[in-house]
Amino acid sequence: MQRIRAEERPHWREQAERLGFLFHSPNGEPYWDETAYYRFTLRQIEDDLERPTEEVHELCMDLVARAVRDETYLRRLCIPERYWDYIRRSWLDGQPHLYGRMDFAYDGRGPAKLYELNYDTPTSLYESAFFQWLWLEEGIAAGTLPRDADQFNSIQEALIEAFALLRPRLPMPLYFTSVRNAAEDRGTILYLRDCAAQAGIETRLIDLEDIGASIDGRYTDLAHDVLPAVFKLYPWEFMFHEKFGPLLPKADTLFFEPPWKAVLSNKGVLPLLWELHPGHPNLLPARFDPAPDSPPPPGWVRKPLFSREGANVEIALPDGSVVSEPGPYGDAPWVLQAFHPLPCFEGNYALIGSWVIGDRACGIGIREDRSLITTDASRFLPHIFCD
Amino acid sequence: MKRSRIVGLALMGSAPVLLSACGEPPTEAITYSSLEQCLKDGKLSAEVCESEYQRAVQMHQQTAPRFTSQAACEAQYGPQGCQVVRAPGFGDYFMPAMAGFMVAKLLDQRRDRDQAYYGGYARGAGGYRGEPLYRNREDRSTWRTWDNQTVERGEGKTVMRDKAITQSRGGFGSQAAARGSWGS
Repeated sequence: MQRIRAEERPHWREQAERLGFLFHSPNGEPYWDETAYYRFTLRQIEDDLERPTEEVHELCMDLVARAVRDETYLRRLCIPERYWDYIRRSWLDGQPHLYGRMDFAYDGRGPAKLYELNYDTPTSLYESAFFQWLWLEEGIAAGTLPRDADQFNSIQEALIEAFALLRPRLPMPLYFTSVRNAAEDRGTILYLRDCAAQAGIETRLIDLEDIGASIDGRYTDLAHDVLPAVFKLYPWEFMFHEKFGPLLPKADTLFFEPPWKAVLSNKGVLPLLWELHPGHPNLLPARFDPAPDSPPPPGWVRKPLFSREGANVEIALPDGSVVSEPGPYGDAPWVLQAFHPLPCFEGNYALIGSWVIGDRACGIGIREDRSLITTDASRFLPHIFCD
Repeated sequence: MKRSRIVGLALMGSAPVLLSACGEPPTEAITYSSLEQCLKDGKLSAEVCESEYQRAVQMHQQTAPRFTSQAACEAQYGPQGCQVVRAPGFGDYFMPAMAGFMVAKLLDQRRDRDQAYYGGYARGAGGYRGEPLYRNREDRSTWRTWDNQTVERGEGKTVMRDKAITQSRGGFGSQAAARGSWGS
């Protein structure tokens, strides 16, 4: 695993905008960054990332199966009791899921370590699946990348295939929703919708705030059409606590991701996975935080049960100094995870996001930050592999 | 090879809000393979035929699915089903040829929303809207809209949907407003 500096393609911004990548440089700060890329070997990709991703995914599915049968798990994950049966039913009915992303710390040697799961509302999908692919193809064609370079990225193919498999039993139209005025989220659902349309699914868009509730407790669009199926880029834990949440169990709308993903979109899975599989090479020691009011012990990282984009994460380095990221998620319980630093390349800390579509590992995207904590201000860098 | 063989975008890269245009199924739509056919048919005035055909062409140019390779385009739209578009500084891309157009008469009660969603594609006078139509490789007999929905040939297609009386809105999204970003 090497970081290789590169010339950016002069036309990439124009190309990005033409192809719907409107959040490539939010507030003028680069998010897509092709002034460098990462280079792996096939062995690193297959043995250290692809296989562990599928293995950890299986552990996660197993954890959901346990959690829906044993409410002590749901209680420890702080999932409101009113939704336990809803979540349980969604799992026992086999409600399909679409996608998820695991974040790994990996430096090219040794086992990749799971930082966290983004299994409910992962973003950085378009840039991983599509724009990164385009960058590779153009780089090979222009001779700036090796002819035999490949990329661990069949994400789009897998997504379209997943939608195509869903289609026969999917109530349509499938609505895609995210909140207003969030460019990255909007870009992500437009991309997912694009993949669904390419698989022949009839789709609609609606802003999350525009979803209505009918007199008989069903969700409606602005034309009062009932929503039969919804892809929502919005966390279950928020929906559970909002005004329309209590309608969920009886609304008869099929959701993506399914309700059982609420189990996995929760950092409480980190200590639960460790309890079930202590010493697993791809897991870091973790536990629920017994003393959230005092600073984390040296060598441990404190994360809120519910948080996004690195918010409210606090790292106590082994020497006792603390690195932290502020945020709005200070209202839930916390977990502690053993400190395992991200690898640093020329002053950049790299985090690997490994995608699971359906149940298959099918690609990676890399984000870099100048800080140990990867946030929504970090940059996305492309990758290749070749031997 | 561990990467996708082909990738394409069917909808993105055009004005994305436009995509909701299909959120309202028209109650009536007439399909034509050409402007001449519309004029000859006589169901619509020559003025409506002309204006809605132009609207369809404009929409086609701006919103047709686009592909980075001819093979990917032809995989969906068949040989001779695609045209190349040369974009200086960007490279060639491919999009399906417009195989026909559809003129829909829209319901008045949805006008406000249509206006917002159609954006730059506001309808012509009298509540008509022209849209381009395509044919897929596998299914040459069926018209398809740009987001791959099939359209019956002829007129009078009615789509019934499950309706419910909406009591309130805004019951989701409050924590987003409170917390800012949440995608992960």
